[in-house]
Amino acid sequence: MSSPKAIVQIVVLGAQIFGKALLAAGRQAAKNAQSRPQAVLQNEAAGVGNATSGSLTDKLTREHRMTVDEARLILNLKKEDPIEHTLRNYEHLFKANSPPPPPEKPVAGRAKAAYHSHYLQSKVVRAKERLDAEVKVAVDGDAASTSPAEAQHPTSPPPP
Amino acid sequence: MDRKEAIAILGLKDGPQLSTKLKDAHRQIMIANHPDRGGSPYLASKINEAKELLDKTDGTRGR
Repeated sequence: MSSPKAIVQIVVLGAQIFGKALLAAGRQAAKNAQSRPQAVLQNEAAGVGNATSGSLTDKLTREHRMTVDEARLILNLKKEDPIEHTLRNYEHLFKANSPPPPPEKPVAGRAKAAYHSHYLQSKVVRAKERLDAEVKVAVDGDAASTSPAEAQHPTSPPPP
Repeated sequence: MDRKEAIAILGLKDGPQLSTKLKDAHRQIMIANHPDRGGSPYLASKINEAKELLDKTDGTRGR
């Protein structure tokens, strides 16, 4: 009876193949893990990759994946603009990129295909969230500025 | 900007009809975001960039 020997051989061979496959998979996984950070950095939104410091602004930039500068550009704001302009521009841009309301009556003639960009609208929303977070940090920092050593450099000036 | 983002910016769907809809979509979204009417110049430049990218890749691809 050679069957026990044959079974053992099959099991050993199977284990060897499985082990090799596992090793190869592990190697590939390690390679993926190494190469992914670079790929992410390349695809990263403008300037987010530079926000590496521990300051609150950089932390917010990483969290929101958007720099204050980009948020200001999206909302068409200048550095010295007052905070009220943020809301005004945001509302305008949000409305400009909203889907058009459905026509109340079916219009005779050819129906005009309406285009709008949900992507741009969400960018506008994200930009406002980013600026709001920045303002909030600046206000909180002012309220709890007990130690001047911890003072940040808020890029959004607190309300005058 | 990659192709996917460009398509998203113009509010389009990828497909064979993309190049025919490109001009209309760009026009309407540009009107909505025109800097002369309170739109953001940054977004306007992105919209133009998206259209140029799709023009370049799709204008020569289908025919």
